[in-house]
Formats: sequence, structure tokens, C-alpha cells
Amino acid sequence: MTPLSIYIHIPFCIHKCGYCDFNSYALEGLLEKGHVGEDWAAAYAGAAIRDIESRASALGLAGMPVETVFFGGGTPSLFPAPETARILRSLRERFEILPGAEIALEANPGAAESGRFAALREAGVNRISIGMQSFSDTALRRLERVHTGEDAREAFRSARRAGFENISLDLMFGIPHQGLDEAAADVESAIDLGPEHLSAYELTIESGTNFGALHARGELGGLPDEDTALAMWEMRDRLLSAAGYERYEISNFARPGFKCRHNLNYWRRGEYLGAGAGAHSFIAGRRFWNHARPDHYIKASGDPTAGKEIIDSAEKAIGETFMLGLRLTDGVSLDEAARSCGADPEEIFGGVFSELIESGLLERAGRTLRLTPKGLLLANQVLQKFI
Amino acid sequence: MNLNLIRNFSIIAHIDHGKSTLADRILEITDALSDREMSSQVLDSMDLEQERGITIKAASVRLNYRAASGDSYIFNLIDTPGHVDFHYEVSRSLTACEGALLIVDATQGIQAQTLANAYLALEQDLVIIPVINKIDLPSADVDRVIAQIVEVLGLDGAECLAVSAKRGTGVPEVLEAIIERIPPPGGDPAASPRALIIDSWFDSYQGAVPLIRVFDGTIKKGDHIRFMATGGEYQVLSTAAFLPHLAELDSLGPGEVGLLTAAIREVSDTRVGDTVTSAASPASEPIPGFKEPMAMVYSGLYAADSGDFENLRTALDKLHLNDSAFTFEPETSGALGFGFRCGFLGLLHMDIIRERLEREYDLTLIFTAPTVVYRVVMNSGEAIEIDSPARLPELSRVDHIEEPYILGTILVPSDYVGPVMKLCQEKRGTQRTMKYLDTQTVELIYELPFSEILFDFHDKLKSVTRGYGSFDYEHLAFRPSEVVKLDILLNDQPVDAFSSIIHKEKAYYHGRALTGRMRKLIPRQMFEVSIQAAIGNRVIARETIKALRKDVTAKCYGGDITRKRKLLEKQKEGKKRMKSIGTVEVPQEAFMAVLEVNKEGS
Ligand SMILES: Nc1nc2c(ncn2[C@@H]2O[C@H](COP(=O)(O)OP(=O)(O)OP(=O)(O)O)[C@@H](O)[C@H]2O)c(=O)[nH]1
Ligand code: SF4
Ligand SMILES: [Mg+2]
Repeated sequence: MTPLSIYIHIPFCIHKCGYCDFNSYALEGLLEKGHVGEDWAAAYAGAAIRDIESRASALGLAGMPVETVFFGGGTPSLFPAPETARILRSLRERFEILPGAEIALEANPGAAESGRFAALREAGVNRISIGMQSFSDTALRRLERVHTGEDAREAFRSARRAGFENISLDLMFGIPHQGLDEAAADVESAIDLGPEHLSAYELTIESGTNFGALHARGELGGLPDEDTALAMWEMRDRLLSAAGYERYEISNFARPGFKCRHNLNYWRRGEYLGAGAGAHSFIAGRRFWNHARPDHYIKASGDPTAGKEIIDSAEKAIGETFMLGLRLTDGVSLDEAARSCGADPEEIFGGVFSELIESGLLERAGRTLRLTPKGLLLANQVLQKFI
Repeated sequence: MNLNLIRNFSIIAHIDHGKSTLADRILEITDALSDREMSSQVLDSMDLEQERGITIKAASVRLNYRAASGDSYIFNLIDTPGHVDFHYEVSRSLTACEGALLIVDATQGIQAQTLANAYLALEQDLVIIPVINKIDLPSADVDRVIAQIVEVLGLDGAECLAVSAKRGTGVPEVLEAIIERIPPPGGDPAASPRALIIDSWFDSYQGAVPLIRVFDGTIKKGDHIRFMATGGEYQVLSTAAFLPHLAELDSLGPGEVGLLTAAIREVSDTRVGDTVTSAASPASEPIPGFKEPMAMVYSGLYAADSGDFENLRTALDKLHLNDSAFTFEPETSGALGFGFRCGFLGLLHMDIIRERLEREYDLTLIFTAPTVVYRVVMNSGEAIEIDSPARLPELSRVDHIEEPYILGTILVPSDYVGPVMKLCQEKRGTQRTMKYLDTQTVELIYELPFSEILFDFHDKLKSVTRGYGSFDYEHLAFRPSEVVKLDILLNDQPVDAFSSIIHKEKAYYHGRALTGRMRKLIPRQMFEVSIQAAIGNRVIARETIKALRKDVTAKCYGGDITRKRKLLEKQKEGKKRMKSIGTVEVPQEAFMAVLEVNKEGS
């Protein structure tokens, strides 16, 4: 039996960052509008537990082995540790959490005191991913983050002190008015802290965010031009590789043995059960997702489903396998794709493969297909060929 | 039916002066529709008409009106379009009428199409009732407009009615004036029937349906009829009229407007302007018909997905059934493959056809830049007309080329005469006459190349006259002209679909503007793309689009695969609207860049 991955979404944040298009909400705003009450944490954890229970029994998942659990957000570190522990306990009651399972939680500086880390470690969390973004106070202010560079360093140190041996940092580049040197300084500061894992991604302007609105009005100045942005990508790869980090995905780097197993499961099109507001699941060829707003989610518990989709053709399944898997530097194994989707990828996408190989975006390594360095930078152009 | 109790009239005016709104009020007063059914511009029944707030097709409606005298009248009202492209709809509508309501906006006064439409009505000896509309607006100047109507059209000032079609003020007086002033139709009910086809359309259940105005005799169910021009004979299955809902009538007698069904296969069998008569005892003379409108503007039409070629043909066939003014024939483009050369009355007409094809037939289309027809006189003396730059023959065999001219009428307040003359000069126009219609309004008549007024003349005129100038035109003749063919090359390959014919003096500017515009419209590709404009072998402009080096979503975590797929789908969807020319993906807009260049420049 292939082990399962479980995702728990915690949608609460201290403040909504200007660039953020995650399903996240400033807690204070929710309280003010009366969308959640003073008992928000208990109510939310209760709803998540009911969600897991009913899904586990409806889908016959009870007792399944689980290899990764991921608390993502939002800001899960803002969520009271006892409530997190309660959710974890209920998972252990229902599933077989494998020894050595990756149990990860996202933390943001500003909601990351060492007391919380210790409690989380106690509850069984063994990997912390810290949303650092930058070490420059100016850059952090521009991003509307609620913490300073020093807070970020301190968050890292407290996680270490609490005993975490697998820590990841999120770093951003291409921040408005950030030069190449400043971006490099951020990468170097991150390396100096010595995390096991790093996600370093270029800022994307998403519609529906503050930045998106500013950008549409032409008021978001200081974004890097293409040459600078490309130089930043190059700098990032060079510095991190020199420091012993292996790039295993477009924006992800790890010391040997520390790739994020939970995210690898997404990219490899594995199955997962998602609980919490707006969380998505993929089980037995079906995708379904929950109501996004925490108040709706809490009220709807029992059946929080907001929508679903069935992946009913081998072609679609194979397309997804490549759309996701090609983000990984290891690429996609043709044989594995054939096995998991029940059709031959070359039969369906043979033409696309040769076209992409010819234009230097894709390469073949034995029975594996992967993006070339050029292809990694033009990934969207490649991935859309598979849908 | 007592002919004295019938009145047939059209509502005519310059665009937006309120024809359809007045029709609404008349429908209300005559209780043609329940309150619930009443909306704005009800006769504009097409979605496109409602969305754009303009009338495209003339619409006829038969109404019952109880007059102040107590008598009950039948009104056949025809609401007409104001836009120049659909001018012919006005003239055919008028043929079915004894009178016309000439609407003039009280804030704008007489405009170019007011004149053109009034002349049409006068030519046909119709009674004109001048109706000054929008008197509710603060800037309305009824006295001035009355003075204009008297001076310019020579109508009696005392006959002008002032209304607010929006509020209904003065509309009852209009209805009474229709009865008093417009003569009832003549005609002999006992004579052999003669009816004029004023419109026809295709209905998937009834077949081709002609809308007719009966002049003599009576047409009823079971009658054997003949179309005099085509010779087709049919048995009438039903007669009906729009009230404005379709309702069957026992018969259509002299003076009546209505439609007949007779299991007629094709709209081409029911030619607009043809006369319907009895098969057994046909009338000796047809009713004088009118000219079919002619396509004046041509463009290549291609399905973005070449697999859609047959669907496109089917769609064109169907659309043509209801719009004979638009023509199409197959053509092949080196760049775009198999498609059609389509003819339109003007750019609005083209835009409407495009929207209908995309909307009603769900096709993604590429239109090439619209062009006028050129007349090419060969060394041999032979003359050919070409509707596509690609068909321009080898120049060594050409003696000279002629381009079509129009006669343009511009009405403008005297303050703006200078700028308008300057504009006409830039557009290579020659003035014919200039006269004061009243102390403030000047009428300028110019001969202008059609290609110069096609794209942006109207917008420019509005901008140099702060919206006060108006324009109308009619086609004149071909005139010799110094035109050249401007080619566009993508990565050194000429692209036939981008070629245009243009006046020598404008070619250089145009080439530069066009390549510049295309550089902005063609998205970056994974390799560098060069765009050149050339006349013959001489390159006159060049632009380059740098290769795309980065297109990657940096962040992709979480389980929402559905959304990730949708984002990529959206990006891909954008590409579907593009056409691969060689290896270059070109968006639809680039083919129309000519339009925008014309708008920016000159
Ligand atoms: N204030 C005011 N507005 C009016 C009046 N009559 C019409 N309008 C407005 O003028 C605009 C044009 O009215 P339409 O009735 O569509 O004009 P039209 O002459 O049928 O236009 P085309 O069919 O496109 O030529 C609309 O926005 C009407 O609401 C009026 O009496 N007063
Ligand atoms: S902390 Fe993270 S999830 Fe919360 S608003 Fe900022 S970016 Fe979004
Ligand atoms: Mg109208």
C-alpha cells in the first residue's frame, strides 16, 4: 500500500502580506468582522478533526500508513501549539503515521517564539519551514511583512534551540527596488544560518493581491528588468550550489537527504488528503477541495466540500504527471508515468516531446525526460503543452 | 380593410438621435406590449443591437392606434438604423412607406445623416414629419433646430413637433400628426397583386421568409404566387405581421406590411426589391425595386484553428442567408492557409459579422486588414478589380492603378471649418463645395479616396470638431492613383496576409508605424523575430522582438493542481488565438494592426 500524505491548512496570519495570494486571512480582521469568535483556534481545530474523521471513513482511508504530514498556511506557527498537537493526536488515532515520517510545519518570524517551537517539537513536528523572505528590513517592509531581518534570524535560532534538525528557509528575490547585490546578500545570509533546505523563489505578481492591483495601475515600481532577474536566478543557483545545496526543483534546494518529501509527493502526482479551509485532496483519481473561508469551513464541517473534479482519462493523468513532474530537476520517468497512469506517454505526447527536445527545452536521459537549464527558465512554455 | 385607416411610416434620423426610443414610446401608447415586456429599444431585438445600443437591421411592427377622433388605425412602423454602413436599409424601408418621421436631436441639430436620410425621403416623394427630440435635455435648442429645418431642408417650421422620446412628452401629438399628414396608401384591392419584398431572412422552420409591402391586390393563404425577377412560384402557407410578436393574419391587402411563408428554400429566392405577384394572373409591370447594397470593404477571414475551415464555411453559409450584403469566396493565403475573402458594407458591418461568427458559431477567427477594391489597368488596356493586395499583378504588366473615391458630406459649425479642411487635405481630399446652411452650420463637400476615410476619418473628424462635426458619404468612382504595395516580412519571409496597398506618399510613415505596432502586438518568442516593411525589394522599416528568456512560475506548492492547470490553460488559450506563421506565433490583433496604425497616425 502506497503511503499517504496529509496536508492541514491553517489560514490565519498576523497581517496579509502585499504579494500573498494564499488562502490566508489576517486574524484580527476575521475577529473584527465576526467571521470567527474568541474560540477560533479550538473551533477550527475541531472542524479540521471532524473533516479528517469523516473523510477517512467515507473514503476508507482509516489505518492507512502516512509518510508526510504538513501544516501549511497561512501561519501555522500562529496557531496555538496545543491545538496543533490535538490535530496530530487525532491523525495518529486514525492513521498509521510511519516511523521516520516527515511532520512539517510552516512558521513565520513574528509568530515564532522558542516556547512554541519546543511545544511543537514535543507534539511530534520534526521539520520547520520558516518564511524569512529577506534579511533586509527595507525589503521586508516593502513586502508588508510584520518582522525584521533580525526577527527572522532569531526565529531560525529558536527553532534550532528547540531541537529541530530539519529546517527550511523561504527566501524571495526580485523584490521591488532590490538590486542584484542585495539579493545575493540575502542568499548569503541564508547560507550562513545553515538550513538543511531552502526555497528561493522570484516574487510573482499575482492578480487579486495588493501588489497585483498596484501593478495593474502601473504603480508598483522597482521590479527588476529581465536581465537583472535572470542574473538573480543565476546568482542563486551558483551560490547555493557552491554551498552544497542541490537544486531539485525550479525553486527548491536541499542538503543531501533533506528534500521536502511532502512537496515531492505533489510534484510526483502522489495522493494526498487535505484538511482545513480551502485544502485540496487527491485520492483515487479524484480531486476535491474545501470551502476557502474559515468561517464557511467551520460551519460546513461534516461536509466541507466546495468542489471536485475527476481525472478520468489516461491522457489527462499523464499530462498532469508531466506538468508537475518536469518542475523537478530529476524529471519524469517514462516507465513510471506509464505504470501509474496506465498508458504510454510517448503515444500521447510523443510529438510534444520531440518538438520540445528540438527547441532545446527538454532532454532525454535514458528513460527519463527532464527540462534543460533553458527549459527550467521557460517552464510555463513547456508545461502548457501537457494540458 | 379600409385603406384610409392605414398609415405606413419609417422613423429616420442621424445615428443616436432617438429613433428606437421614440418607437418604444409609440409601442407603449398603442399597448403593443405588456408593461412587463417593455424594455429599452425593444425593436433592437438582436443581442448585438442591445449591447451596442444601435440599430443594425430595420424592424417593422404593425400597431393598432385609436385616434383622438375615435377611429382605429393600423400603423406600420419601421425603425431604421442610423449608421452609414446600413444606409440601404433606410432606402428600402422608405419604399414601403408614404411618410417618414425625421428625428432631429435638439442638442445637435441637423447632422450629415439627417440630410442624407431626408433627401432619400424627398426623392421618394414621402411626407416628412420633422420631430425635434430630446427636448428634456438642458442644452436643447428647439428654436435653432426649427430654423435649421426650415433653411436647410425647406420644410415648414410650423410643422415641427418637439418631443422627448425618453419621457414621452409630445409623442401623442406625433401620432395624431401621422394620421393628419401622412396620406393613406393607395392601391386597388381587386387588381392582380403586386407586393415589394423589402427584407427577407431565413428561419429554420419556415425557410426563407420575405417581408413585403403590398401595393395592389391581396395575398392570402393558399394563393399561388410568383416572384417576378427570379420567376420562382410558390403556394402561400401563411401571412403574418409583427405586433411586435409575430401573429398570423388572414390576408395582406394594399398598403399592408407583413410577411409570408411559402416553404421557400433559400433567401436568394426571395430577393429584396423583387415584386411578388399572382402566378395565375401576374401583374404586367413590377414595382420599381432598388439596388442591392454592394460590399465595399474586403478582408481575409481564417479560422485560427485550420481544422475549423469547414465549420467556418458552414457558418458563413448560414450567416449569408440572413445578410446578403455580405459576400464571401474561398481564398488561399501562403501564411494562413485556406480561408475566405469576405466583402462588407463598411467596418461596422465587418465588426458585427465577426462578432456574430465568434458568438453564434463559437469560432476563433483571424481577419486580415480590411482593404478597399482597386482597379488595375493593365498595359493591354484590360482592367481588373482586385479586392486583396495579394492579387495585385506583376507591376511590369500594370499601366496604372485606380482607387475608389467617395463623395463626402461634412456638416460642421463654422468655427471648425479650418481644422476640417486641413483634415480633408491630409486625407488627400479635394473640395467640391462649401456653403453655409445657416449662420452657424457649414456644409463641406469633398471628394476623398475611400481608403482614407475607411478607418479613422470619423474619429478624427469628431476630435477636430469637438464632437460637433458629422459625416456621410456615397460612392463615386475609381480614380487613377499613385499607390504601392507594402509588404511585411517576418524573419525575412514575406507574409501575404500582412500586405497592404497604400498611397506612395504615406508608405514610409505607414511602414514604420506598422512594424512598430506589430512589435508591440507579437509576444516574445523563444527566438528573436525580425519585422520588416518593404516596397518591392526596398526595406523601409525594421523592428526586432528579442527572444523570450524567462517564463516560469517560481512558486508551485500545495495541492491545488486544478488551479495550476487552469493558469496554464489560460496561457495556452491565449495562444490558440494565435496563428503560426512559419515558426512565429502571431496574435489575431497583429493582423488588424493596420487599423490601429491608421488611428494613431497621419
Ligand atoms: N435625454 C434624452 N435622451 C434620449 C431621448 N431619446 C433618446 N435618447 C437617448 O439617446 C440615445 C440613442 O437613442 P436610440 O433610440 O438608440 O437612437 P437611435 O436613433 O435609434 O440610434 P441608432 O439606431 O443607432 O441610429 C439613447 O441613449 C437614448 O436613451 C430623449 O428624448 N431624451
Ligand atoms: S505570512 Fe505568508 S500566508 Fe500569511 S499573508 Fe504573508 S505570505 Fe501570505
Ligand atoms: Mg435605433
